[in-house]
Amino acid sequence: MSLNNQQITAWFLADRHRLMAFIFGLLSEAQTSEDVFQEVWLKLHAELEKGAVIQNPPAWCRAVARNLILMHWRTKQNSKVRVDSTLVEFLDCVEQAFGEDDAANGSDQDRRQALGECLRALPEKSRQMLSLRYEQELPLKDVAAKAGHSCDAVIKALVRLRQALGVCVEKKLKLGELGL
Amino acid sequence: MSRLEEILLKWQDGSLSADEQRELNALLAQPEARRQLVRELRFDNLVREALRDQQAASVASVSAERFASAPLREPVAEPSSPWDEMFSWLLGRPVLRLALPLLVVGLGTWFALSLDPAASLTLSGQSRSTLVERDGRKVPAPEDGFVLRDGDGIVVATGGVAIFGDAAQGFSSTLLGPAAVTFRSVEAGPRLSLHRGELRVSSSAASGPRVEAGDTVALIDQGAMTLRAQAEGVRLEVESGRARWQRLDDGRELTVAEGYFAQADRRPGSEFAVTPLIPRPWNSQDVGPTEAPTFVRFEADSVRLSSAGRGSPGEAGPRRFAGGKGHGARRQEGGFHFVYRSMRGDGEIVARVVPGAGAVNGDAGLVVRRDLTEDAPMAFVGNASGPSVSLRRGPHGGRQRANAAAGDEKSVGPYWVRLVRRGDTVTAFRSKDGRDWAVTGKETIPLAETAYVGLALASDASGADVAFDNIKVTSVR
Repeated sequence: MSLNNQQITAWFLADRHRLMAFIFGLLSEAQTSEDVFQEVWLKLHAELEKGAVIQNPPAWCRAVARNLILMHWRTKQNSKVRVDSTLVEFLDCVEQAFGEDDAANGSDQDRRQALGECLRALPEKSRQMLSLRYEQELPLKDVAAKAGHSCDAVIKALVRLRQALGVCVEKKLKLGELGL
Repeated sequence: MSRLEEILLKWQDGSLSADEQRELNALLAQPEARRQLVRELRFDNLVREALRDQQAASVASVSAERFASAPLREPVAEPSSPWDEMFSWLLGRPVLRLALPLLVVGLGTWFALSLDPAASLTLSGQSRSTLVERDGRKVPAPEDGFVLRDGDGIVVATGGVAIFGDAAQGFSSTLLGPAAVTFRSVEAGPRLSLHRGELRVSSSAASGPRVEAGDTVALIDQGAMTLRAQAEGVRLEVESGRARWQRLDDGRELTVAEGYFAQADRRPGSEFAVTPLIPRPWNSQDVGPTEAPTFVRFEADSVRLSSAGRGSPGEAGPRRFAGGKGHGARRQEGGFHFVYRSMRGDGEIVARVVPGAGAVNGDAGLVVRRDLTEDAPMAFVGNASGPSVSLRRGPHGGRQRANAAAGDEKSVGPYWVRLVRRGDTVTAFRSKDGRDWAVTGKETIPLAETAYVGLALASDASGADVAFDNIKVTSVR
């Protein structure tokens, strides 16, 4: 059964975090990821306007995003990523992984709220490190230089921080502590 | 720490070696690793979004704090004057200490009885249908300079307008009909109660007038805001500065900053939150010098651009897009307000242009531009002020020229316009109904891969008002 335009739009809005995670996970640049995300929406909208029938919107959007990401890597002058068969294989794996995850239910909205509370509870130094990596998008070596640690130490610290946040979020979701 | 987590961090850092890339692919052959990968990437995205939310909340909180604490500043102590010393001496005499308060009360009573204590507002512009209600009587079509007193009501009919304010206090209000407002003068300053319609208030004072609408109270702080009282509730839009807005039924208070709006619905339990006036992916800015600021309002199915203007109609000729045809000797060329978004590659923008109530002194239509600098090459189609719909081409390298191929057509009422970009060629269309399109011109303009398309309004000093609906931007690549 195909979905109508309204249903697809509603799905797109509700599931935008998952699509953004796919795009941002591959590009690791917030601005470019936002551009690709917007472009996917425009293409989806244009297809719907033309009366196209899209059976599986999540897979369709990921396929479009994948092509845009590949095009970005190929055309960007100073791209750190070299497009070869290994990279394309990786892209396929990530696309497959998200395809397998489509069946999983639950939106990221509650998780995001819980994560916000967990972030606020972090020590200032830890929050600063996350901010340098995820907000300011500094390379690991620059984060290491600012924190006065080695690159390996920063990797370990970031992994530990993410694990601690993950535990905190799950705990809050289980206990229903959101209370906002 | 799992190997996958470590390698993923390096991938996101761009520091993954070829061997590690192969190792990552091999790991992802396992279903469990793929599940973990999705978990990690979704989590990364959430961390990024949550940090961004907190940053935004922090900035808003600092602004709100500054605003909220502004009236609480301690007054600056003045050095004592000879008068202070004389009063101190007088207050030191027992008899005079008793007589002085009586004298002050007496003088105050005399002053209150002999003078009208109420602060007043003055009408400075109004349509003929405007009337003032005073003590149960109706004063139709009051003239400029009419002084409003405590308790006066102003009623403006559909399409009408009333401009009033207090120049000494640095604030002015514009009431757009159909609307009704009551003015109260209290010690703390003027109070306006908006019963229905739209009221724009601008204030240059640190604390502007208090405006009540529905079950809300708004205070503007050195800026401009618009309140609209509708059947479903009240909407507050802040054009500049900040406004503090309180919902009386539950005491909740918001600080609405420039470029944001909030809605107080009558429905119990409804949302009371601040929202950007211009939703993504749209943006809004002036391109080049403009006569007056333009206010942009995104409504349910249309976008309204209005420029209040600074003077009376006729002070200047209609402002025209550079490169366009003018309306005679008083023609000006210059900037315009642009509500735009980016469009990558080929595509088109379509909209219906609906001139607003009253005269529209300016150009309104669609624009495609290479960039947002003043001299960027651009094409424009549309015209709200004159009788034509035409394609014009903007400056390029200092050269300006009108499009000789433009096919002007009578278009005074609502009209449809469309700009189609194919490479560097821009084709303009017009239509009466949005179905049958006629080409009005074609231009070759040097555009980049990503061009800017959107809605434009160029107005003169007397202001303009236009709405765009049925807006559609389609990118075809």
